[in-house]
Amino acid sequence: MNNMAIFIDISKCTACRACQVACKNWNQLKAEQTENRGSHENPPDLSAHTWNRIRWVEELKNRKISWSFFNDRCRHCDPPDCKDAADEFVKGAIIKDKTGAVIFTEKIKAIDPDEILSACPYDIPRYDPETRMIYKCNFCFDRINAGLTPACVKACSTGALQFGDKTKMLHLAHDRISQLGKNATLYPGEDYNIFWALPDKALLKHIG
Amino acid sequence: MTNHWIDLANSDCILAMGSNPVKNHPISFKWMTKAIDRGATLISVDPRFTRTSGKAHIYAPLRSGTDIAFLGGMIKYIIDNNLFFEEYVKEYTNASFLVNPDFKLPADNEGVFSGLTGIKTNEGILDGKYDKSTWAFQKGDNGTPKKDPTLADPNCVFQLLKKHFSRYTPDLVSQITGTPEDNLLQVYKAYGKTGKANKAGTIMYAMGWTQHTVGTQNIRTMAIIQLLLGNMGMAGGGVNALRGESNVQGSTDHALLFHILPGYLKTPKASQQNYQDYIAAVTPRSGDAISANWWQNYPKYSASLLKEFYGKDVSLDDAYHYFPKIDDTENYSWLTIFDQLYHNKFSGLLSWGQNPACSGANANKTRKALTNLDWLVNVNLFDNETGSFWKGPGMDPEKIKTEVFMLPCAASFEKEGSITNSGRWMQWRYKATEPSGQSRPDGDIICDLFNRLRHLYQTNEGAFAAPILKLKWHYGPKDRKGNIKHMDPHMVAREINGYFLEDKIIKGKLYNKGTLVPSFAYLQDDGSTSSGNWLYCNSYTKEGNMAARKIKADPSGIGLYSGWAWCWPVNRRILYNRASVDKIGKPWAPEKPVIEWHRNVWRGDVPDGGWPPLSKGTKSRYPFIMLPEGHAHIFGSGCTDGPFPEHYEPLESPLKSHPLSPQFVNPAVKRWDRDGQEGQMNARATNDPRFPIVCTTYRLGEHWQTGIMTRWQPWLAELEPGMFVEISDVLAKELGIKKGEMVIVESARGALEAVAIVTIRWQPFNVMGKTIHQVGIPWHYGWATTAERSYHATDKKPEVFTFGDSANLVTPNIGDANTMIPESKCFMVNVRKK
Amino acid sequence: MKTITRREFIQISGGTLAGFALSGCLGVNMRPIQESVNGLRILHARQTTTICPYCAVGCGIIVHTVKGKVINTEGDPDHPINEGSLCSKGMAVYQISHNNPNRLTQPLYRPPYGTEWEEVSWDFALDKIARRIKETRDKTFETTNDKNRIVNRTLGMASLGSAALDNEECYIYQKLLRGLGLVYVEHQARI
Repeated sequence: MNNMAIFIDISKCTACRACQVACKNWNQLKAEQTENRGSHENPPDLSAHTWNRIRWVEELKNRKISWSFFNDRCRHCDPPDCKDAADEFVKGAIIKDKTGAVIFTEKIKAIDPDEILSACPYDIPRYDPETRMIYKCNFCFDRINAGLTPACVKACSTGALQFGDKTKMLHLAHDRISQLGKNATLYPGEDYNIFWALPDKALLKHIG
Repeated sequence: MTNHWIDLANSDCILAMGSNPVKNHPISFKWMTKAIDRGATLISVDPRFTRTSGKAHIYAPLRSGTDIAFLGGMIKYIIDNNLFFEEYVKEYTNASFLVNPDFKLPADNEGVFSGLTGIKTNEGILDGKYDKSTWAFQKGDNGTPKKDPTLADPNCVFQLLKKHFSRYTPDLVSQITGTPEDNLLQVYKAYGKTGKANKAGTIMYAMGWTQHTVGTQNIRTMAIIQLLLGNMGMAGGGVNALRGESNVQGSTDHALLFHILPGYLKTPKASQQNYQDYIAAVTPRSGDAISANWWQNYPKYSASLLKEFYGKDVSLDDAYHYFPKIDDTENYSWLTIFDQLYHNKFSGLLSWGQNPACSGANANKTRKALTNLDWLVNVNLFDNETGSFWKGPGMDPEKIKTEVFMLPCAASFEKEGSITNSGRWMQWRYKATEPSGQSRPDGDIICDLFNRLRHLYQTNEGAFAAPILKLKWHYGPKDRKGNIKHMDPHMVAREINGYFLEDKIIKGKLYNKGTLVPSFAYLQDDGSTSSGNWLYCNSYTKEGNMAARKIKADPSGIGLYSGWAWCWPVNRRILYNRASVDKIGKPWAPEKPVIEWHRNVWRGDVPDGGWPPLSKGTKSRYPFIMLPEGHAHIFGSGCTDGPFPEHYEPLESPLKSHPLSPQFVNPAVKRWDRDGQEGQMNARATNDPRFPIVCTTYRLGEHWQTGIMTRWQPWLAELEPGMFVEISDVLAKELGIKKGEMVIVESARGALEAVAIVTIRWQPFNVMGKTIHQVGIPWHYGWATTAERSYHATDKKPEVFTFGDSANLVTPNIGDANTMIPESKCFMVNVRKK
Repeated sequence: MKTITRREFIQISGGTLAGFALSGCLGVNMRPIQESVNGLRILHARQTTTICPYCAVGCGIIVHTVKGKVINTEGDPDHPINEGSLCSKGMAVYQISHNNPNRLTQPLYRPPYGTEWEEVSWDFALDKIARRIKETRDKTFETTNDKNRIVNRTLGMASLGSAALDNEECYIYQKLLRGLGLVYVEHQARI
């Protein structure tokens, strides 16, 4: 199980959010007290207890409704900026393992959390002052090492989340992008172990 | 479902209307996706742009409550453009049958069908009842209907259908529904393509069709379309009700409803004083030798049921005598029950695995009614608004007399047994852990209650004790007193399947007393067999527990998985499959054959009876074997409110008058709002400036029903934490409401608080030249899991609180004319800032 | 790229688990650290198949248990309908189990005009319920209706439920109700 990848095909996502619950279930993450703020999006942000969440994009395009769902989480960069940042203080505090996972170890507690948080170009990791740990998606590397697919991918019924060898996943992604037409694009790029097929480049402004 | 979930992948065109499968039956989309990948068209028709709309090739909005107009226009389009499957329509439906010349269509009869009597008002007839004598066929010599195979006779069903729906022009339909005309035609054109012999279209519907005063007729309209296009019996076709509870199919099959006994047998009526009267009244006859008229077997099924209830030694006559009888013209359904309770007409309620304080329409009336109970038993996994009604909003416990028992039951994986999914698959599930705490499986609680009741009647005087004392009850290992502590699901499943009660020779073969009946074809009318439910006969045989099978192979190539679990009836995966082949038994769609006549046998799915194809003459049978004439009903006399569907406005409508008829609301519905005494409780506000906005209710994928199982689950509560109302950006601007603001949604019957979700997914409708706004609310919430209520030390307190109360606080107190399912999908409200 | 060593694995797991322990009020049981250290927690768990209790699609779910405790639930990959996938509700059935401290675990009783629940025994509850049913039935039993036809029924009580019961339970429940002579027998299918 070396250099694996998750490919997320936004056009197939229905925001059923089985992936959000699967993540909480497998990783035994606490639920958060949320409230409806005039949208279905919840929890409102990634947190120490929410490592994966769907963001809603609803807009009118040529008088037609375009409704997209972006599954936000760690991109598992290759190489990861957070790891470089951590290595400056404690070597091996963040690991890029053979599966492709970017993993935060307990050694991270010895580092000023801001150094790690500010290193992420996508604003993903979240610090928990109670445990002094920083949390984010860990790629379900424990499942992968046992020959299983990540919990979120297994739960996905529509094929929006797919998991496999990175070369194969990239191939799938490029195929899908060419099917989706000229506005479609790969996000964030190839140097990641999680990447998305966006049906429209215009979505980039919402992902930020 | 006539078909099943995996079969969606075989469809050429999927119409999701009256349902939002992507959101509410998410795994169905897996199979819809497979159809789409093969080139199928997905159409979503819904008042608002839903998750399903988001994935559809065509989306058409319509005003809630106008589905018959929408689909009536499609019938006209199919006929006008000759898109119907002529051979199928002529041979397999009653299109050619000649109707009584005295029968009148609404266009010629003040907006109603012939035979109606009721109270005349300026809105038309109210509380009407149809005398159906003109809704009949002209009979030939042997009592079979007269036919015109050319479909030209003006009194034939086809011509009447054509005439009736000729009024549903695209322009008029568009004015009623608010659907743009070009959008309508886009849907009609796409769906009409499935009239080709080898194409199949399917309908996925749910409560969006049933929860209307014209609910049954919504489905009838679509059934007529499916028959015109030859989609019944086909892989990828059928009429598919997406049922919402894991075992609502099974609980209906097993008749937890007042009007039926297990297997859709009929509840005995007071006019049927003995078993012979009953059999004579309920067993249909046919003079046509080629009609299977399957229900002619009724006495075999009823006798076997009586034998399961009361055993070998109680005669059929006595067993029948023990059964409760209903008055012939009375309705005893949900709305009646709560109306009776509201009027203090009865005193005890068992509320088992249900939360009526939130789930019943017009919740204020329901909750007030509960205070009249002397005793209430509530069995559930979690605390809920019904069991704790006495401490709900506006209640003063010190003034409520009700004695309440809240019994904890085991969860689905804390016991063993079967459930039946929407595709009629009976699937066995196993026990993973012991019941939580002191909770007990429902079956054990029922057995224990029976033990105690029997003991009370054994040791004390009581009214008519025989039906209780003689009830055959050996559903588990018995202790010395004859009591059963644990229900054995296998023993029950075998009783449901049925036994030979004596040695019996059938077709030259001996079946020994005490052995399991192989299938319902072997059940007897003389009391020599027992079967708790004939539809499930074949589910537990000498081969074993069929529901537990896990053979994952698909030799059919169309996803039948016939070796996985078991499906009623007799493991037939697609109903009416004899209609999927032509007269010589060749499939209309050879690339996805359901059955095929091959070397003098059927291959493929279990056919609707083993008879050879129709070309074999009198040895054969027509495909629609459950109907006396063997032909599907385009014209049907079964409904209380018309042999054809007709558009009527909902009880509460934004319109002043009906756009094409002097009859405003379905004339055959029972009207509670006219009961003077509690006008307020059953109040109606139609075309009322105080309540100018149409409102509908719907579900979320993250919660379930009244939310009792999901609101208590932190991972789900965090996803959808509270009551909201979805409002169009246009209406929000008019009302000065912003995203996330708290608003009040109020109807003539009640009010609730909700958070405003302002969205482009709702858009105003242009109806009869007027702008009509519609909003939508989910119905999963209730006060029991909110932060605002008080929690006593003995109360459970959720980890994640939810906000808000039930949508049913504002829904109306009216039911469909046939089923009495409430009109929760369409009523009038006002929305204002809190 | 490297392979995670056993020591690092402990650190990672320990770190994550510390998060659970301290965050408290989890509503779910803590996964014992030792189990994770020994490998995947479901590796040696007993697997039981079930069908999802929510909508009527009928998806297969696997319940993983260790010594009678539910430690995980996930989709059954062998099930032909869902092939391992689930929706958000199906994915959360873990929290229906004994892992949810809010399950009702004991019969509760509220006497007339009472203001709070009292915890009672099953014997107390079921004895009383049986007596109430008998009293009501005996008081309201109708042998004939107003047209003097035999009806053998009681309209003195009603039953609602349930589509949440198994088939076998539905069957014996309706049999009990009809044996008692109830006519007001309804459930979820009517709403």
